Amino acid sequence: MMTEKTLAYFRKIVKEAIKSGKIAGFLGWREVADMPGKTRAFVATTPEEVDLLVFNSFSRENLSRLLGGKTFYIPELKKGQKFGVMVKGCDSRNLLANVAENKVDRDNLWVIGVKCPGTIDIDLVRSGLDSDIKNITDDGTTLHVEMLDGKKADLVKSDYYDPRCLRCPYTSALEVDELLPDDMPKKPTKNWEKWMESYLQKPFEERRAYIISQLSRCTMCFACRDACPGCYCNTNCIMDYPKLPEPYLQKGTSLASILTYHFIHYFHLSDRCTNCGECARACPESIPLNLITEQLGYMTKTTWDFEPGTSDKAKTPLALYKVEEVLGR
Amino acid sequence: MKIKKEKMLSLIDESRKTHVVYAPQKNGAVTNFKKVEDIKSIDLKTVRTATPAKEAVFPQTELIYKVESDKVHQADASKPAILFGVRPCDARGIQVLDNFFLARDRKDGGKQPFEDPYWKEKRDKTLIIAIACEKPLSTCACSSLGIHPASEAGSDILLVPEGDSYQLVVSTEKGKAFIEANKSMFEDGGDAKAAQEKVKKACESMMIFKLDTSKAGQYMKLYESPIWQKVSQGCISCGVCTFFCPTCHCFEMRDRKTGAVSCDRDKCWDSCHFTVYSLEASGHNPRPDVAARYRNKILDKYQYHMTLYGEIACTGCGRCSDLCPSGISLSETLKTLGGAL
Ligand code: SF4
Ligand code: SF4
Ligand code: SF4
Ligand code: SF4
Repeated sequence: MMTEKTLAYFRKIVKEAIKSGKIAGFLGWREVADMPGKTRAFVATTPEEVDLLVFNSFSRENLSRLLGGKTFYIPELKKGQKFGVMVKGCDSRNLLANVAENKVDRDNLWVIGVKCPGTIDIDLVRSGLDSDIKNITDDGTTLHVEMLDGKKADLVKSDYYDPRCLRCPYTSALEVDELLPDDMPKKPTKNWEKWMESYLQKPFEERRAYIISQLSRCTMCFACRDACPGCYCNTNCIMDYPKLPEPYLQKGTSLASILTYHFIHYFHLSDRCTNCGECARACPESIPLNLITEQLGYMTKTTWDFEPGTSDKAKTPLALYKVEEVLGR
Repeated sequence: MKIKKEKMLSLIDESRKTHVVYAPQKNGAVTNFKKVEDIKSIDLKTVRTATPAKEAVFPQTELIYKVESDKVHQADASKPAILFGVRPCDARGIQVLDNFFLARDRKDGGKQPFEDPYWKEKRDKTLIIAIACEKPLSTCACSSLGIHPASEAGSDILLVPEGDSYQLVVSTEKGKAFIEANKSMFEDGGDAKAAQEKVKKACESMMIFKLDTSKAGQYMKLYESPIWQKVSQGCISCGVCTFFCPTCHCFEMRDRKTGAVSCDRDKCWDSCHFTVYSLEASGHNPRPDVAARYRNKILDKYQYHMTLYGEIACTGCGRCSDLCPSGISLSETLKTLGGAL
């Protein structure tokens, strides 16, 4: 959540940019009137619409996934005109990664970033309550919840962060055109690398059995792919290929198909995944896909000292090879 | 008629000898309908399962036949089943799906002479025991769609919680036969209608999500309108709102190679939200963008189904809004569309 002052400043500069014709529209978040604790992506094209833009603890959707790949929201731009977008830390990394892969033309964008205070996992909040949420507000340290049965609860905010936010090292959006003032509360951090090291100490069989037990309820809806800012193959995704004869590349929900799909998804993201956590957030079956992405992130970092999405130039390690790599063995 | 809650569970346990029983059970962070191996794992506290109950009659992946060199083996006939602990919105969903899967005269004057034998077989063999909802979720809106939290629509038997017992509302011959066969477990007494009314009132008083159905059947007028871009803004075409919808019924056939000269033919769920759903072999896609696909979903439920069968293909379960990773709410969409008419 931003202070009133920053919100007013943010809306002011966006309005000015729209009025002057500098941008054709601005992609941000707005509240969803009838769903407490949720926001949705919204393109403001008039100064009046800018007043609907917000940024709060529930602005979880990664907006960079809407800038390339399968969903194009960039309208036709006049010469010299740009399209505005707001990014959190994680969104900014996915944007950089896609710019580095020539999937987005950065010159067309005007990017406003925030120093993200972390987001709240609304489903985690809901799962702990006797009655579902009627209204929820956040004062920076406490979540004030009003429930459907009329009861109220004050929850300690730090218990309900989205796990991806706890591990996020880049809360401040990277390489943006304008960074909004840092006036938001700080989120707690979890040393996930340390956590990952202890996780990897567990026997392989145990980890494998757990992840399979969770993946076995996968419905192959591919929401995890569609939510992924790094999955931009569009209709060329191999899982969408209509009639492949291979036994495992099928839409059906056999465990073999499920594992093949996830293997392909995460193999294609292995050195590109920024750990933004969108796949795990999107999954309607609440499958802890973050266990896979966190491990990928850890391996990419420890093997190549590489963090995807931290520069708009760097090529990902698997897209390159060094001569020594081939000759050295 | 009524039955003590724990007696109901032992009856369900007993029925496992003759039936396959599906009931809501916890699996990781979600609850879904699964085959019951141990009645202790039945979770009747969770209001709404992630996957709708349609799964038991319309499995996500259903084997139709196996081919082995020059022989074709039909899949085995299914066993009699009990679908236990279904919420009224899901029971109603199965009833709505009958429109699509069974033979009937249509409202638009058309005839629908064929029925889906796989649906029919499972449907006929499945006894639906629903349970009324004592509390809603934030996105529950059954009462907007002609049913309510204690509605018996679509169920063979409805259980209405009342103290340590369930009052019974029996709607079908199938339901009656089940009760008759297990007479000793049930007791007379109580007023099912009154219990139903009480649970309905209490639950409805807590609902906040409303779906405006007053304009259903008129949205065709907006077909060419740019409004679909607006209501679908942020949609990533993930298909969650359709896969998890109790009335969505698209499927496709997939042949899965199982050996050099053998294959399985499966009937698998499909979704009009998938990018390749309407992609033609020529490369042309009549629903090329998110807005066109989103429009199809809304029109299918609130327009086409009305025209063909005189009913809205939505039960107000709220899943499409709740599970949407992009925060797109059906309530908001209907409000916006209604405002534009
Ligand atoms: S992952 Fe980081 S940048 Fe993204 S929402 Fe969480 S704290 Fe903010
Ligand atoms: S793989 Fe998962 S964590 Fe990585 S970018 Fe895609 S959705 Fe985000
Ligand atoms: S979002 Fe979840 S259910 Fe859907 S394909 Fe991905 S893991 Fe499976
Ligand atoms: S669940 Fe939401 S994002 Fe996914 S297809 Fe439906 S409306 Fe679009």
